[in-house]
Amino acid sequence: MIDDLSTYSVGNFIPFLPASYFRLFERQFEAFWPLQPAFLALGVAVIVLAVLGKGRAVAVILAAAMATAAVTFHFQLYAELTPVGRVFGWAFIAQGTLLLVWGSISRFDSRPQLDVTAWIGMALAVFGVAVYPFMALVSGRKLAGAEYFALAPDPTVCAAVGILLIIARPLWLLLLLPVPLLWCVVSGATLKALEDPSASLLPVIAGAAFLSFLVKAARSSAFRLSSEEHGKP
Amino acid sequence: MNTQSITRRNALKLVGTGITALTLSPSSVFGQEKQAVTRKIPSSGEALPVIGMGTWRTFNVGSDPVLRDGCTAVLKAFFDAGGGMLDCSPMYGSARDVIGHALKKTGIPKTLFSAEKIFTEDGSKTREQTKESAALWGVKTFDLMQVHNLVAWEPHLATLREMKKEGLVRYVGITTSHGRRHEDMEKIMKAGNLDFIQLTYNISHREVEERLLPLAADKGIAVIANRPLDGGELMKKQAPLPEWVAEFDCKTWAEFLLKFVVSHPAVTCAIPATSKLAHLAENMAAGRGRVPDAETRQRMIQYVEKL
Repeated sequence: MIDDLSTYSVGNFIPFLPASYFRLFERQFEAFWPLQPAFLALGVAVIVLAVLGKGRAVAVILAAAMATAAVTFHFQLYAELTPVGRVFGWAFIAQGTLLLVWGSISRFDSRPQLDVTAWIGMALAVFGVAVYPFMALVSGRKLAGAEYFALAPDPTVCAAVGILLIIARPLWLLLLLPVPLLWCVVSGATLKALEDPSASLLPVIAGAAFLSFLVKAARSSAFRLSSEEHGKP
Repeated sequence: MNTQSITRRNALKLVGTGITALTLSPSSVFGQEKQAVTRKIPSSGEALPVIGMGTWRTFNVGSDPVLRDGCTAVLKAFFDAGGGMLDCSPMYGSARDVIGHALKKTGIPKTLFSAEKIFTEDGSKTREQTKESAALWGVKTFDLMQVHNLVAWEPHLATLREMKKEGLVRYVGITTSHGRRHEDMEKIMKAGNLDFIQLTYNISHREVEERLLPLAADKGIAVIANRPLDGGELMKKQAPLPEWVAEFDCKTWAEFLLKFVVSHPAVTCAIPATSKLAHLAENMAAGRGRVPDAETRQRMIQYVEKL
């Protein structure tokens, strides 16, 4: 149906007004009120569990968060405005399934090492859980439309990426990061087309997460090589 | 013949009525004095108000009750102001459903000229998608069915022509937007048997003046101008209107831009989209009063190009 892609801009693929998009968060907020503090507490809990190395619990909570965002936002609300909602609804469900697989077959023997990557991950996770709800104010919107971890996709993805950077190994990150990072790009492009002041935030977060992943992967390889050189297990 | 002579008493009564009316609602009194501009559909001679309404983005509000009420208010105001053409597409998300919701609340006005589109690669689904859209709108048939963006236009147009013969649609047409596929549109227009074309035309995008608009006039095809405000981009110009716009009864930028579009002799109707009542009032005002002549149109272009 698209004859010449070069003549299209992102805005051509956004079939709704900013007011319609941000109303989705207000409706979701109304539907879950007054449970928002519980979602905030859940977010704090999953960060603490990640720092403690409780990988299985982290995987279950993150999978549940992705599934909740998929159902309560993508399928029930966003899909009414654009087919992209349905596509990412399924992508979030797939991501949740992948998180459960990761949690069930990985070994979490000890607390994760709190290196630079983990601290960046921690910052992203705290931002997603505790700061992101107030981003509505930055965009000139009402707090009644605040986006919470495990409900709205942006803070959920932001927190999930951060937590995975703390606790997941590089090989697993290769599998677990694509969907969240892709959503960061898509959501950023959507907000840019809607001329929202916070449009660059998620792409910047995705960039920071990807660089952190590269650092973590490089360090992991370097550690393995040096271990072999010194005859360590 | 029963004529009423103008006596001193009658004259005073008339002046008094006028003063009272002006005190109560000067804008509405002046508004009603301006003639609503209509254009004839060349293939039938049916008159159509030059300002219609598009629904891209503005009516895609899903099941949100607050925004649905807003759309209903805009649609009611549109018809209250004498609006006719309402244009939609299956591509516009929930817009068809929202139109149906609004029409259910307001009732279907006599002036409604329903314009829908076929938007599917499957050339065998013309009738099926038309029925689906009619059910969502809550209408029995559409006045105009168009092939959206020329997608699978050959089978769809063939079926739409059959449907026209069967009385299931009154007019058939094709659409493009953003200046795409003009060569294909020209070929289809030359082949004949089209009632309407829809294309992008505004003061900043005038390519269609070269070939498509003269061809439409020559072939007797009605023209719907989409994106007459360039998707709202033209409304961002922060400049005062020149004084000479009063010569064609223009008070706002929306009127300026829309009057430019509908003053082209080949254009039948422009379909600005809005979700705001204030903007709708400005749009509808462009469909009344004098329209700029050819010389003034050139002046308008020069003024906008300098901004």
